[in-house]
Amino acid sequence: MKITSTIVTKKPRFDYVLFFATILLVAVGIVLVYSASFYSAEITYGSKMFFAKKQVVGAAVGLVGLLVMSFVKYDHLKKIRYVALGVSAVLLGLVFLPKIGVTNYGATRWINLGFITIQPSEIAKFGFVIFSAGYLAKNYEKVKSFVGILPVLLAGGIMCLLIILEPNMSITICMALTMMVMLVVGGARLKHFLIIIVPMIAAAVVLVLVAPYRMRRLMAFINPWQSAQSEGFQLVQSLYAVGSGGWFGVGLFNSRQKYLFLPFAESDFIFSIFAEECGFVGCVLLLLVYLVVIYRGLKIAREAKDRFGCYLATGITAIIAIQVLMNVAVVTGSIPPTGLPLPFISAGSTSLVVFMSAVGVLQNIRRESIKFNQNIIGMAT
Amino acid sequence: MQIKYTTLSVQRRISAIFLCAVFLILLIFIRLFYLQVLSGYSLQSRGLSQWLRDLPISAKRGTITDRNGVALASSHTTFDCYVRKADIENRDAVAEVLSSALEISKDEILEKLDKYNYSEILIGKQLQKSVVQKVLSGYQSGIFFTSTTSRDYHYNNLLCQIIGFLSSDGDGQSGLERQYNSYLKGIDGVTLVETDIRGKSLNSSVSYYVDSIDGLNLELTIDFQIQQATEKILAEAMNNTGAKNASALVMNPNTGEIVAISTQPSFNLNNIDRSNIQTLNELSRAQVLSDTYEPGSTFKVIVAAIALNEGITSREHYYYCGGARIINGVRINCSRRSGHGPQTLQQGLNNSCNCVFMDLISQIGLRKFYWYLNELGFTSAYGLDFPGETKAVLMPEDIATDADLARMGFGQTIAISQLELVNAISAAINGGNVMQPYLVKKISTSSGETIYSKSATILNKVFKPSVSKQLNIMLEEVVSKGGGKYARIDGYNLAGKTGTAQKYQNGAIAQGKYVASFVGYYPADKPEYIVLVTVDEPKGAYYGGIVAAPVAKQIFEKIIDLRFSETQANAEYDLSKTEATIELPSLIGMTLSEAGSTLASLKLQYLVSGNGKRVTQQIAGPGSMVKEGDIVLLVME
Repeated sequence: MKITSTIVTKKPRFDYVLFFATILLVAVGIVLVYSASFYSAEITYGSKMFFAKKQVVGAAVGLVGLLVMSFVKYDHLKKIRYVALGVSAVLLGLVFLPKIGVTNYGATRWINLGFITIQPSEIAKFGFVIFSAGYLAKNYEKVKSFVGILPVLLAGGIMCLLIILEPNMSITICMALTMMVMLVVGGARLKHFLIIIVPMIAAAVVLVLVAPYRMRRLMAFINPWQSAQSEGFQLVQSLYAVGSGGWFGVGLFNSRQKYLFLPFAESDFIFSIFAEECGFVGCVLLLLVYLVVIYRGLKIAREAKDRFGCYLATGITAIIAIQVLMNVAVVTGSIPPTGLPLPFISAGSTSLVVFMSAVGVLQNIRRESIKFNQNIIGMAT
Repeated sequence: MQIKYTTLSVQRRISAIFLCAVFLILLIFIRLFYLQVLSGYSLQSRGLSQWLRDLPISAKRGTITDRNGVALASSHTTFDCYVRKADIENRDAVAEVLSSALEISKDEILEKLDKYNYSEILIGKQLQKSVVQKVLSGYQSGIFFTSTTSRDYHYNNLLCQIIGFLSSDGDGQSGLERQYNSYLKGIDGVTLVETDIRGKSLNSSVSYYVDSIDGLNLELTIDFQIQQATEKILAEAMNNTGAKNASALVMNPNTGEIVAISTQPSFNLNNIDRSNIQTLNELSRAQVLSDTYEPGSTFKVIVAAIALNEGITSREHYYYCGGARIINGVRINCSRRSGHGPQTLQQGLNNSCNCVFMDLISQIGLRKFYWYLNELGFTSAYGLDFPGETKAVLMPEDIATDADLARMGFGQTIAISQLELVNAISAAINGGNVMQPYLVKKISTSSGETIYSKSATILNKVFKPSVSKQLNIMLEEVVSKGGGKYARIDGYNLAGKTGTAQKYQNGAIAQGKYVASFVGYYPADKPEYIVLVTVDEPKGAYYGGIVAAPVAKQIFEKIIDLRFSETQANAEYDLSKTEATIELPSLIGMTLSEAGSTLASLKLQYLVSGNGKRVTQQIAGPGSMVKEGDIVLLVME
């Protein structure tokens, strides 16, 4: 017992591996946002640094968020789980109000707060995770029954509905997958998943059939070269970029595709530019850094002091993992294209602040669990 | 043992989630490996086509010169140099490289860059290629060029129908510019520039540069001096006769080289009026090569040559002209209704008697006559290196009646091109060879290397050499004593034949419309130049001997002046004597100023010998015949 206690007391409360992995990703993001956007930014906004500056500001605010959240007891989040769900739903609803909702590229996904434009779905993902983690932790005995998981399904379903109405297929999928992960970790039964998955697939098919552009995108994914000038354009351009990278890339800042060839090079398709500049080796290393973040996140979940902490950490990590995987899968043409930012790296300060703060929450879960263990040990000795 | 609130089952589920993530990332690694390592090269090559934009460097079009190297048409490309401020990386280096290449002071360039706020600043205008290459050798981003190519026709209207002109996109549209377009135009070079999606070049753009290859140069058979003189003489003839058109063709009968060729009116190649296509087409058609006409009596030379070759006539052979022939009930008049009476072939040529040639051609017969026309190349093109060469229009053999044949004897009911007439007569006088006419002697590269050289090509041998000898004697007499006398240049053995053809319009004789012509050559015994002059629809006098012969004479005079004046010094001496038209007054006893002003008024020059006050002697003496510009020696004792 004594030996164990010395080991435990030596364990730092702050997860430095997770922290530096996160900072590394954010730093890579700043450099990459600059590299991918300086040309288009100068043309559109008259400044090479337009996106890069915003990214630095986002990173600074995000860092503050990370540190603050490390010290804010995550137990508070459990208390506000209904508030989190309600605020998320309201924000998602506000999108549809004229003057407040901002429409871009045919979708209404943003709300204008006057000084800043935010994307509610970015916040809603975490709102849902807080809610479901709280619910599942409190009702962990009920989850064996279908009725027991119904509130989670209902909350997730409403979120998905609101997001798909924007429309935003990618975050809807992301949300649905997060919900699945929450149910998995919450202990839901396997047969219940089948009950969920079947209508979800049916809904996906209906959604594709309802909106013809989704069908065209699907076809463009199957053979992008056939519509290289229209539907398949973005994917083809992304493949040019990724392919040009080869083993070691064309060198940092040397991407050719960022010269307006690849749309959204600084946001949803930033990984393509990274792949072009840093090559296969760079991509593997970058994804390993993400894997480290995911590993640390899930480790925190495993070692959390309570169910809520465990579920919350799993949910946050799941959002990160799902978005990374989906984003990379999209830009490499592995799944049909949808617009989803790459966590920590894509340009966009809302996303950056939220993700970094979420890492702060992970830090706090660890901090609290180590503190808790030390107290137990302290009491034991 | 660590104390946990999470159960083993939850931990397993989290591990499963992690393994799931690892598995998916591995799949992505495989996908990335496939895209980047396995298909990277092919994807990059596909991308390459959109990353580069090619800017053509237009090749310089070749020069067209006359046979002696006088440039008739040439192109020049000049470049304007700009600096695009936004693209400058190193301001100082930009100024440095421009300063040394353009020979402008560096300060001046920097000042310009500061002074103007335009995105593109003009630094140098109309620069030569060498300057551009100098700039490119030390290229700095921010500098770029625009090029302008223009075609210059140095003598405006000269040889306009033959040289031709370019379309607005720089390809030959007519004449030799069209015929030899692929030789003249050269091969465009290219600059590859890296650009963004809109085609805007990138700051850090690396340029790949492939130089253009200049077009080939054409050296024509045309003699610029004779051409220029011919056009001037024709233009004057147009004025004097009020004709619709006047054309001339000067060839070397031994080689087929076209020495001069023109139809008036002409047009300015440097100022093409494209607003009226019909007029432009009319003016730019090389009528001598592309139009057919009924030649009239000049054609009698060919009929005579055929008859001589067949041995059915000779210079002394007698014929009788009663003013007309009645053939199959059709009366065909001679030029003189009252008839020429009995006459030899020579006299028949001198008088241009139609009856003689009606008889001759009847003796030859339609079949044989057509066979000769075929042998002489009338029925097929010669393969002249020019677009739009035409061939004769003959009545079909089974339709032509004896009367039609008789008319062909004096060059009617047969339509041929002027080139065909000259080329067939050339065969008759050069010893019997049908030559291939041509316009381009030599094609060479811009560095002067000859890649093609055309020499005289014999297409066919038709006449015996003796035919030429007899014709030369007879046709010389036509000029010295017969209908061609207005072409006569005393002291020079010119040979020739006149022609006055009635024009047909819509199958009927067009009243009062004639083509007056004269074909002649020099020297008569050993022809070197053959000239055909046609005057289309002259007003007033319309006889070839009166309208066309004097024009031909002027052309011959010029040819002799330009090309025979040294070799035939004796003849020139004679010429000076015969042309003396001024009777020298007596200057004896005059003061120098009186004598000087008298001589000046007569356009004569003088030399003074001695230093007396009055003229004591003059050479040449009073009453001598002198010509303009001659020198009179004044002796002042």
